[in-house]
Amino acid sequence: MALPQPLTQPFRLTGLELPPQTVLLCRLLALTILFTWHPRQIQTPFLPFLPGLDELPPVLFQRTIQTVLVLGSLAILFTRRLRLAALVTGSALLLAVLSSRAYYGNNKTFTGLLLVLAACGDLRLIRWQFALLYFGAGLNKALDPDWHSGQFFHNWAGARLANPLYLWAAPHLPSLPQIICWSTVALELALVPLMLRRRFAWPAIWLSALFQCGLLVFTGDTFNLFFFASQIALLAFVEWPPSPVTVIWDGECGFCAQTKGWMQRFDRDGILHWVPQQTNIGDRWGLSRELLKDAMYSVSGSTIRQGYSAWRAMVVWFPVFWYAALAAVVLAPRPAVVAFLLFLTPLSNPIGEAVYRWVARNRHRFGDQTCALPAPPKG
Amino acid sequence: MAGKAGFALGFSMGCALLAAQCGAIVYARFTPLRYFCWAPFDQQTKYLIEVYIGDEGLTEFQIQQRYRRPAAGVDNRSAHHLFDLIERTENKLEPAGRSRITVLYSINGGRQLTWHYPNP
Repeated sequence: MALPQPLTQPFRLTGLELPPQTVLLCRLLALTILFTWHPRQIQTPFLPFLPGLDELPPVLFQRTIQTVLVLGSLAILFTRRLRLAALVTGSALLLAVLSSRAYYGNNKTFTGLLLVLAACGDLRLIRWQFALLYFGAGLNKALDPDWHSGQFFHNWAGARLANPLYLWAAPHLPSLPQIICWSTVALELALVPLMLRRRFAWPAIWLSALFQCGLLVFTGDTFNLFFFASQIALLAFVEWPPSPVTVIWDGECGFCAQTKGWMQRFDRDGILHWVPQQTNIGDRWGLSRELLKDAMYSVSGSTIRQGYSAWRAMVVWFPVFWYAALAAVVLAPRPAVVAFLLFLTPLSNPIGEAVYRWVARNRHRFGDQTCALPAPPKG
Repeated sequence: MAGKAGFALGFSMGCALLAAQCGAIVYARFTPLRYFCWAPFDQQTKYLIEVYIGDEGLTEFQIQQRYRRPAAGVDNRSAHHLFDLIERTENKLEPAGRSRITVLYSINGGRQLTWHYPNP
C-alpha cells in the first residue's frame, strides 16, 4: 500500500528548492531537535544578549520558541517549504540563545546557525561556518597556558571524568596530556584550510568525523546538540552523485527482485538505476557474466564496487539510513557510534563480505520465486 | 524569497553572520569573556558560590533560582562567564548594593582562587 505523499516527504531529497545535501542536513537537524526533545531546554529570558528581550512576557516567549521549534522541525520534515522552515527554526534557536545567558551554549548557537545558513541556500556558507568554528576553537586553545602544559586534559580526563583508560595510561606516559592537548590544537587548526579547499573535502570529513566520534566514545557525552550538529554539517562537504548509480543485479533471482523492490521503496529520489545483468550491461565496464553471477555490482562515475561494498555504497544515499543512525546515537551514543564507524570504514569488510557471500550463495533459498541459479547438490 | 535575488540576499545574510563571528573571535582576545567566539569546553571551572543579601545568606536552592546555575559545580566555560552572570544579576536585582558574594573557584584543577562581588 502506497503511503500518502506528505508521509513520504522525509524520504525525498531532490526536486526541492535546496540541494539534496542541504535538504538532508536540515532534516537531520530537525530530527535531532525532536529526538533529543530539545524544546524542553528552552528557558524564559534571563540576562539577554539582546536588550529588551527580558521585557517580553517570559512564559509566552518561552512557549512561543518551543512551539516554533517543534512546528518548524516538523515542517522541515514534512513540507516542501524547506527554506522558510529552516530559516524560522534556526532563527528561533538563535533567538533563544540571545535571550538568555543561562541557556547560551556553543552547541545551540552552531545548530541554529547551520539551519539559518542552510536556508541561505549556498553550501559554501556552511563549510565556512565549520572552518570558522574550528579556527575559533583552535585559536583559543593555542593561546591558553593550560592547553600548552596539558593541565586542561589532565584535570578533565583524570579528575573530572575519571576515565579509566586515561588513569591507566597517565602514569606510564607523563607527557600524555600535553601530547593530547597539542594534538587537539593542531588538528583543529589543520581542519581550517582543509575545510576551505574543495579538493580536501574527504580528508576534512574523515578527520572531523573521527575526532568528534573519538570524543564521544571517550566521554560518552554528545555535548548536548554539538556532536549531532558537527556530524550533520559534514554533509556540506559531500558531492551528490550527478547521475544515478547503476546497480547490476541478477534479474532471474526472486530474492534479488524482492531486495530490489524493498530498496526502491526507500529510494524516493531514484538515485539507484537498476539494470539486470542479463541485459549484458556488464560488458560496458568489462564485467563478465561469471563475475556478475557471484555478486551485485554498483557503478558510480568511474567507481565500480561489488558485493558488500556495493550494497553499503547504495544504502548511504538513503535518508532513512541516516535517520536510523541518528535515532540509534540518541538512544545509545557510544555503541551506536562505534557500530556506525565500523560499518562505514573498511574495518567491517571481512565480516560484511562473508555475510554477503553466504547470502549470495544461498539466495535461491530465499524469496518466493524460483532462482535461475542451480541449487547446490544434496547430500 | 524566491529565485536568484532570494539566494543573493541569503548569501549576503550568511556572510554577515560569519563576519559577526569573526568580530567576536577578535573581540575575545581583548576580554576574558568567551561568548560567540567558539571556545567550547576549553576550560573547566570548579566553583562554589556563597551569597548574602544584607545579613541573610541564601540557600543552594535560592542561589540556583537566582543565577540559574547550581550553587556548586563545574562549568565548562570561562570562569568569567559565571562572574558576568552574577554581576549582571546583582546589578538588576540589587542595585542598592546590599549583596555580598564570594565565589571560590579553581580553573582546570589549579589552585583555589576567590572572586568577590562587589569587587574590592
